[in-house]
Amino acid sequence: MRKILTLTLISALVFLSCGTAAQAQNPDSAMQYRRSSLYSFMISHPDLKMDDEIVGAFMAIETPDKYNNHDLSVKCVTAASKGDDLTRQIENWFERNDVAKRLVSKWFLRSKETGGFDPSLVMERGLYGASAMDVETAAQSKRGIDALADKGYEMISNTFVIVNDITYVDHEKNADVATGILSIIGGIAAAATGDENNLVTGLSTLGAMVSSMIAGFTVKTTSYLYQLDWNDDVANTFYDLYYYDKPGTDSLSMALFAADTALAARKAAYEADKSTFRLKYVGKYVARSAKPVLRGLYNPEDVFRKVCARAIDNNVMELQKEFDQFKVKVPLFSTEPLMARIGMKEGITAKSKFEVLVPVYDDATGKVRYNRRGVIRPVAGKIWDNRYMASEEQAVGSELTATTFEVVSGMNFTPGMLIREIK
Amino acid sequence: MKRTVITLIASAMLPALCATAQNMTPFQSGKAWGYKDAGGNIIVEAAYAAASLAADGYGLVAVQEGNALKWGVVGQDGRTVIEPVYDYIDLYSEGMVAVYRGPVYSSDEGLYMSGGQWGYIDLASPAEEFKVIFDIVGPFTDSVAWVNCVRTESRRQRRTMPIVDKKGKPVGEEIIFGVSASFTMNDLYLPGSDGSVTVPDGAWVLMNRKGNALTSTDSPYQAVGEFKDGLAWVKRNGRFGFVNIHGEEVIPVIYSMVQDAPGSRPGSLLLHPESGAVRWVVNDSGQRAWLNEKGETVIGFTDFEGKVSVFDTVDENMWDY
Repeated sequence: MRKILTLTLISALVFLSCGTAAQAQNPDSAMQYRRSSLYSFMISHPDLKMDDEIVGAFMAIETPDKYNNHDLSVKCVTAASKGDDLTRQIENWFERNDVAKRLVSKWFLRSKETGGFDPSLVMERGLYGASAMDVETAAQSKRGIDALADKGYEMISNTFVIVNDITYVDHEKNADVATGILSIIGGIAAAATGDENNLVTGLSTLGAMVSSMIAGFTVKTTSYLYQLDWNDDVANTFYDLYYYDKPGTDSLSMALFAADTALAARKAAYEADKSTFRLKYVGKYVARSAKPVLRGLYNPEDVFRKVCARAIDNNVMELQKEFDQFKVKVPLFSTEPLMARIGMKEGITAKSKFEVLVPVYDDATGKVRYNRRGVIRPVAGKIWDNRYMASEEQAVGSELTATTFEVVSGMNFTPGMLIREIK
Repeated sequence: MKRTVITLIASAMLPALCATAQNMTPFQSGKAWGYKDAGGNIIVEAAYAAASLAADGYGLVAVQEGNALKWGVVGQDGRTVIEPVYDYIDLYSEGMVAVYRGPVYSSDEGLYMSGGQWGYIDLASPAEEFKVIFDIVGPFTDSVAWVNCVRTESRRQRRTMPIVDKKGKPVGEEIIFGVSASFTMNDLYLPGSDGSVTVPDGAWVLMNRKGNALTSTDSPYQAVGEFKDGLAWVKRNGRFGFVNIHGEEVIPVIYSMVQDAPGSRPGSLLLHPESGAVRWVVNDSGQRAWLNEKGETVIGFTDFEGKVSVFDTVDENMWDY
């Protein structure tokens, strides 16, 4: 019986992760895959120049599309110091504010009022509800979580926090407009003169006050990466001691809940727990943003947002290269030709290589592992430029919608199989 | 030679720029401008004094009439959608363009329009021109737009982007036709020599694509903001609130300051739909509260100024989970 259940779960996972031939006809369905989840917030320095502009830009930036948005309500934390490593201050802030526990609470949509949990986000992000599994047993309840192959283990453990310490680089100390470092092409000038070599540059902004401050706007970004420590012990503690379903909102359910002292004790115990839930430090990356290409930008806010978004994307990409657990796995949505919606934002170059993976449920561990089916690489000239505002910039490759790959080794690839960059 | 060409560009009062790459590229023949497609085929003959980069298959073109330019719109199929009879055309958005008849002035800060009248034309039915009655207008967002119905001293700028050479020397300019995602109402007005923008008080009313007023014309707003996520800040009698795209004052106009209004500073909290909070407001005591889209309180008034320090223990009410 156990073997039958296991086989069912395996087939469900393969169904979920690898997709079917039909998915090739519907790229959107092939894009339904398990992403890591990300809470990103920034450190601002109100005592430094351009801080409000940077905060405003950051607040408008969306979570990278290869991750689930797992943001909490606090998106910006101020710090007076600059230039120092803020790891200790950040970790103290995490601890003081129970950030790890709040991330778990978000996974289970915890009601602050009743303390009850709801697994529907786990089900949704895990795509369990769409699988061949018994949907009835995967209903929105603790029984549903228990019925899942790994109780959402893989997804919850792939919850990350990225803290971006962003500071304005005072370009007045550096060369800018006056020394001609702008890397801008005036679109119409290029069109009119055939000036393909940037001999004429177009400066985007609003009139005579266009300033070198905007045109040369660059930031230094230090990104600290943390991962939710969701191991078997933590998961068991959570499910055994704290988890209970949200009560219904009708008066009878609320009355029953109010009279249930056991649930009240669970709620109090969860709220008092200051040690079970932790974030573990993964690493950090520091970079100064590139000079902005201003074509297609119409006002200063566009410039600030583009510079900040690309700076963050760049750091995320570098952290992915450095730390395997943070790497994204993206599905192939087509095999003839091999194509995936991943591109320059994720750091793809002509020299990149990707392994093609098939997820397999490991009966021994109760967790999912990934078997390599082959290796592919991007086709030169067919790498998608999906960087922030690349199409407005009219960047080469921005007209594509995906990157095309060729086979290095392996065969029998199918749409929905996952690819992950290898070194 | 390059310099000569650049000078020509400047003297030709160059064209506009739009939000996305187009299969419709301006080209110059002699001093006249037209459009080619991606294959280099001429789709609009070079017959205009100026031409913009295209927006969604439309291009802005001008003919010389005495010392003035008269503006119209051409389509990528080569047809003239709007005859070049207007003194200015701008704010392409959602298939609508703002058209202007009236004087155009020149100052050190650039060209601007003042004292004339604005209206709209739907490019899908360009023969049905709106009555040109407004002092100043905004772009269409979610099928609604702000219009100012009283005469002000507004100096509505011709929104341009200078083209500079590598040494930063201006050699021409591009006129902005389309509306970018981060457009703000401040983008409409001419900045002063110090770069500051003064938005004159007006009598703003929200209008739909059919020209119907969605907010009261008897008690219009003195200032308004652009719509974000379905809400725009408004100001009346010095107080702030928010309206939705149906023109409903979902957050009453009673606060001394609100999120996104001029003078507001970004805070630390970004409250999500899960929490229900969509905007913050400040009362006369300087306290801040977060409200939902119905104007109901999600986080009550607190002395919290909106910034969380790395040394803070954040109030439990500020957390959504």
